Order: sequence, then structure tokens, then C-alpha cells
Amino acid sequence: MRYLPFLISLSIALLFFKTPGYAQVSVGDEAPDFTYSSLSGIEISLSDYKGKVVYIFFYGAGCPHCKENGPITEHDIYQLFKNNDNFVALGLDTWNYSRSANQNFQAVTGISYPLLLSARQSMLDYYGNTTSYDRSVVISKEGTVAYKGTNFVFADTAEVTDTIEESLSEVVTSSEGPTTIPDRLSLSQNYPNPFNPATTIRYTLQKPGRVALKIYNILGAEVATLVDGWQSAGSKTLRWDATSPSGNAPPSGIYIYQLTTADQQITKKMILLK
Amino acid sequence: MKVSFLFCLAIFWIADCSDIHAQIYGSNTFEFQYGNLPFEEDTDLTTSYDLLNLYYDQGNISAYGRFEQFLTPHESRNYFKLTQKRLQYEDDHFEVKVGNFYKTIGRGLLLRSYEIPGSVYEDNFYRTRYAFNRDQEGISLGYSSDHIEIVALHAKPLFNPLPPNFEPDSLRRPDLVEAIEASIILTKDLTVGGAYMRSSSDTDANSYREFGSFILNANLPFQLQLYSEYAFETDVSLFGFNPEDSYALYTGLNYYYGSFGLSAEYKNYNSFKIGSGFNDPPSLIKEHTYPVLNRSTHVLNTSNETGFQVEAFYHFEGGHSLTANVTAARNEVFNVNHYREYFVEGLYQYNEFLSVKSFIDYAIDELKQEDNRWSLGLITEKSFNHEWSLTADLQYQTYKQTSFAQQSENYYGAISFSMFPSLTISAIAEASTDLLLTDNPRTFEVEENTRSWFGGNIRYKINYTHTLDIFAGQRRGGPACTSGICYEILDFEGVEIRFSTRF
Repeated sequence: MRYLPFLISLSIALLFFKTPGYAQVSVGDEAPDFTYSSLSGIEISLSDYKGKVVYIFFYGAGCPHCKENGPITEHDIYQLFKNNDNFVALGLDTWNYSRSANQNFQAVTGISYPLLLSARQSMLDYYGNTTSYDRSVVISKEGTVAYKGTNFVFADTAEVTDTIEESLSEVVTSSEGPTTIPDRLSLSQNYPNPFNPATTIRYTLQKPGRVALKIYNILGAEVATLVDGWQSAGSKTLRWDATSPSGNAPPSGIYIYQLTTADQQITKKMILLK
Repeated sequence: MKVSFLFCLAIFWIADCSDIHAQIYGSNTFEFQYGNLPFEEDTDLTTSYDLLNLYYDQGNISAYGRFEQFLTPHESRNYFKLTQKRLQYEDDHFEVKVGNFYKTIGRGLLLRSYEIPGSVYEDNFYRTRYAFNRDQEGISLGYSSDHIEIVALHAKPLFNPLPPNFEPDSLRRPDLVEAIEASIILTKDLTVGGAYMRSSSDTDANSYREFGSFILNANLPFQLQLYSEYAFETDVSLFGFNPEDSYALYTGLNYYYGSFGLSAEYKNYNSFKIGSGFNDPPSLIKEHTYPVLNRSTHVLNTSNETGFQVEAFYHFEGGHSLTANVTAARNEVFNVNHYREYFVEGLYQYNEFLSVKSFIDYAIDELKQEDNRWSLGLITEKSFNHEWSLTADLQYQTYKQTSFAQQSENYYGAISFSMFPSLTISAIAEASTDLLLTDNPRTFEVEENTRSWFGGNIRYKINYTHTLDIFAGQRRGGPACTSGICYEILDFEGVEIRFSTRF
């Protein structure tokens, strides 16, 4: 076989060729600090937010995945917690694209939290070289990594929001004492509101049990039942496309949505605009 | 690495047992770059990349190995690896593949594999060059007869944004896929099929997502051809198309009559990104070869996308042709975005030595924030006694970039000289006023000056088995789409030499 010496050389070379690996942080480790310029030119450091829970969206300004998932970080994560003074969200461009590219990314995704430029080094600090974009990280009030996503952002939103909720409840515990721990059953304001043709409703169960989520018109007549059955604990997201069980589209107006568990009931309003 | 070594030993063993009918053959591509990526800190870019494919055939058995090597002054980017290996048995009815292979289920709604031939991919984050493909690693079994075709596989698809030197290597294949697809050829005009697939991720290996798929392929009366596939996660209501369901519906209808052809396609995808994204449903967007349009291609969003594409063409006597295409897509992921495109292309064959091709395209792309996008092109080719030819290619594009309320323009001009069959020399000039391209990421102040690129190519086919390509100058990067697969090409300025060999 005239190729044998060649093949033997190849396999020996393969045995001895090594590439070096990278270090990265794990959950529980101290979060590596960073300082980057935001789109508006303000220098922002992670250490500025010591004592707060920080959500970080690692994105590439030119990355199609990130353009798809950016709205999810805005609506399913940031909008849920933005009114909490102990919560901050930051976006880090790990592709080091230009300021214009990041302005375009902001416009395309509708992200309203600060986007920081030229942040590639933080991707290496947090993930080594294991990914280059589209990851979620949550930093606890102590400045440690509370959650480090290993999948695209859309795939672990529930874990991220659970971690943020848990971390925020710890913030309250330490500052105001155990008597102020909030009840974990929660019903968020629907988004968008007003809406047409569909809206998203999010709620969190502190324990498994029978749950009903129903929609009533302003006269108290039931319009739709979105959930009626046993559910596990955790965050849930539902979407109502403004149709009744008969398939008819209800008219514009104020509607009431009500979450009922075995021992609690929460009611909120929403507006359908056509 | 031990696996690679054992694979080579296996090849030796098979080769040693070979008879006179066995053969080893292969191909090699070597590429050297000296230059720079614009706006990057590293201004001394010297790299060499080599890709070697080796095949061994003996009767029904064959073996294959692909070696890739990348060398730079940066040790962390360098690697030398056996990146693909395969043992295969194939006869008239059965096929068994062990190792790396390419299998697609249906039209790719559930699982799609591909290789972009000749492409060398480089990610702006890893700055490592490697062959661009999405294969699977595992085992596949196939059976085919006149009436039935069956494929079953147990494999891990490649997550190709991670380069071959990535450690741990297991993260490059984070998903496990088990699938079976069967097609029954009922008549010469009717084939029905179905597929079942389940997938799990290494991060939660005990949790499976299960999918099913129905496939129909029919030749209808009046020379109509129908193809349709409906794929769905098994816990949804069939054909319910509910917003919380994971499903993908694709259907296409073709009609041919003489020189006239018409095709219409429809898609409805929702929440259909599986695992790390190893499925690629058909994008149903006109894929252009013209540079200004290829870069503008809409990238499919499987989270939610509906749309259609209709294309008609007519071939006139004398070699002239006319093609028209209308494409529309709608995405709703919190925000609603529309994409619409209208395209007309004409080819006029003045005589056997002179042809003129032109196109006009109008599009709206809300996701890219591009409004009223007009693109025009004129390509003239003059042949001189079929011995040498001259081609001039002029293209122009303008659109309103709504995120900046700015009117952007792209210019493209190329002139090529070809001597049949061995030599082609071309020069390319491009310019753009798009802020996404003109702005320097290394400065906070936005740079608006028109950016230009000038480059030249030489392709010399030394003989039937050896080809030399030389590029010098500046190459404009950006999105590129081939066969429905879109990826990002990096800007480059410098010299690039590629030497391709088959043996």
C-alpha cells in the first residue's frame, strides 16, 4: 500500500496535537466584574449594582438567533421585574459590533434595558470559549453567579425568571425581615396591554395544585377558560388570542382575568382594542 | 484522539486486506491567508488551513476520513483533527453507515444536514477556520426497494457554530436524535410517508421531545406536482395550529407546460426550533446569486413564521428567458414583522456570442428595518469565438434604514476575463453607505463615510485535478445564503491563496 506511510504519519500527528482549554465561572462563583460603554455613552460596571439582582443577556449584535430571542428577554424577563428597585438587566454585545449595529439591534428587538458595547471579554470570562452568543446569566445580590444558561435564551426563560424571583425574595428577606416574604403565588399584568389580537399572561405557583385561569367580560360573564386543571409549581405563560370557546371574537372592551388556586384568588384587568 | 487513532488503524487493516479492486482516492484543499480583518486589533493575520478527504472503497464496503488543520500565530486557535470518519456498507437494498454522515428527514422540518462545498467558515468570535457543514455522528440504517424506503438513525447532529478545536468536544454535539422515516411508493405518481423522531439534550438526557411527520408526494392531473409535509410535536392537537403548539407545515405545487413553469409554496411554522437548532425547514425565500440580493436574504425564524412564494418562468426560443417571483413572510414573536419581495429577471441572448441579463427587485424587510428596498442589476457577457469571454456585472441597491431614518446605498461592479477552459481573471469594486457597514466598532463616534472594497481574483485550472485560486485586495463580508443555509462571511483584506487537488 503506497499510502500507508502517509496514513501512519497522520495518525501519529493526531495523537500529539493538543489545543489549550479556557477557564470559566460556575454557579456560586464570584461574578467577574466588567466595565463597558452603553449605547448612550455611559460607562456601566457590574459592581455598580452590588446588592441588586442582575440579569445579563449575552448577545451578538449581528446574530440572527439573538434578534429572535431579544424580544423574549424584554417581554418574558425584563418587563416582569423592571418595577422592582432591586432588579437590573443588561445586554452585552459579545461580537464587538459597532454602535450603529447595536442601535439597529435595539430597534429590531425592542429591548429597553441598557446594551453595552464591545463586551467580548466578558463572554470569555463567564463561558470560556464554550459559546459566543445568546445566553442568559443571573447575578445574585451578593455578586455571585446564581444562574448560568447553557442553552439559547428562549429555551431556559422559566429557569431564569425562577432564579430572579428567588434571588429577589432573598433581597427582601435580608433588608426587611422574614415577615415581609411575599406570597409566591403571583399573576402578572398581561402583555401587551391594551392588546390586539393576542396577549400573554404569566403567573407563578408556589406549590402544585388545582388551578383555574378564566377570563370574564365586564358584566361578569365567562368569556374563556385558559386553564382548569392540576399544574406543577413554577412559572407559567399563557397566550390568549381573544377568542371564546365558540370561536367568536369578543368585542373591544375591558376584560377581567382571574387566577384561582385552592386557597387564593387574584384578579386583574386587561383591555382589548380592535 | 484515541478514537481518531483507532479509526486510522481500522483503515490500515482494511487497506491491508484489500484486493486488486480496492481503491483509495481523495481531495485536498489548502488555503493560506496573509492580511487582516478590518476593524480588528490583530492586524497581522497569517493563517493556513488544510482539509483532506480520504476515501477507501472495496466492493460494498467503504471508509472515509476527513482531516482538518488550522495554524496561526495564536496557539489557542490551532488544531489538527480527524473531524469526520465513516465506515459504510451499501448494496442494492441495504445501507449501513457508522460514524459521520448526512441524513435529512423529509424536507428538513425535523432534521436537516448539509455541507457547503468549498466553504471555509470563520466565526468572528473564535477566529478559527473550518469546513462548514452540519453532519450527524452515530449510526444510520437504510432499506430501499421498488415500493418502500426506510431510514432509521441514532445520532448526534453537529452544532456548527463551535469550531473543531472546541473543548470539551461533547458540547459540539449537544443533542441526541433518534428517528425513523418510511416512504411507501403506492404508484409511480403517489408516495406517502411518515416519520417519528425523538430528541434529547445532554443537559437533560432523560427528557425527550417527540415529533411526528406526514409526507405526501403526488403527480396530479394537468402536469401538477404536489409535495407536502406536516411535522408536529406529538402532544399537540393534529392540524390545530394553536399558538402554543410546536408545528411546521410546508407544501409546494409545481406546474410545467412546455417552456412555461409555475411553482407555489406555502409555509406555516410555529415554535419549531428543535434542540440546538438542528432542523431547518424550507425557508421559501427566493435565494439569489446576485451579491446585492444574496446578502439581503430574509433569514427564517422558526419561532413563528408564515408565508408563501410564487415563481413563474418562461423560456423563449433563441435562449431568452423571463422569471418573476413574489415572496411574503410574516413573523410574530411579540412584535409582528413582515417581509415582502417582488423580483423580475430577464435574459436576452442576442446571439451565441452576446447575452444580457438584468433584474429588478423591490422588497420591504421590517425585521431588518429596511424599507422600500430597490435593487437593480445588468450583466453582459461577450464571448469571442468561444475561446475567451468578457463579463461586466453592475448592481445597485438602495433602501431606507428605518432604525437610523437614513437612506443607504450599495454599489457592486465586477469585470471578468475568461480564457476557456483554464483561466479566469476578475476585478471587483464595491461601496456602501449603510451605517451598519461604515461605522467602526472601535470608535464610539459613528462613522458615516462611504466605505469601499477593491479586490481581484485569479482562477487557474492547472489540469483536470489541480486548481489554483488567488485573491488579493479587500473582500466585503456579510450574510451569505446557499441552498437555504445562511451564514456570516467576515470582511478580509490581504492575500488569499487556495490550492485544490483531487487524487
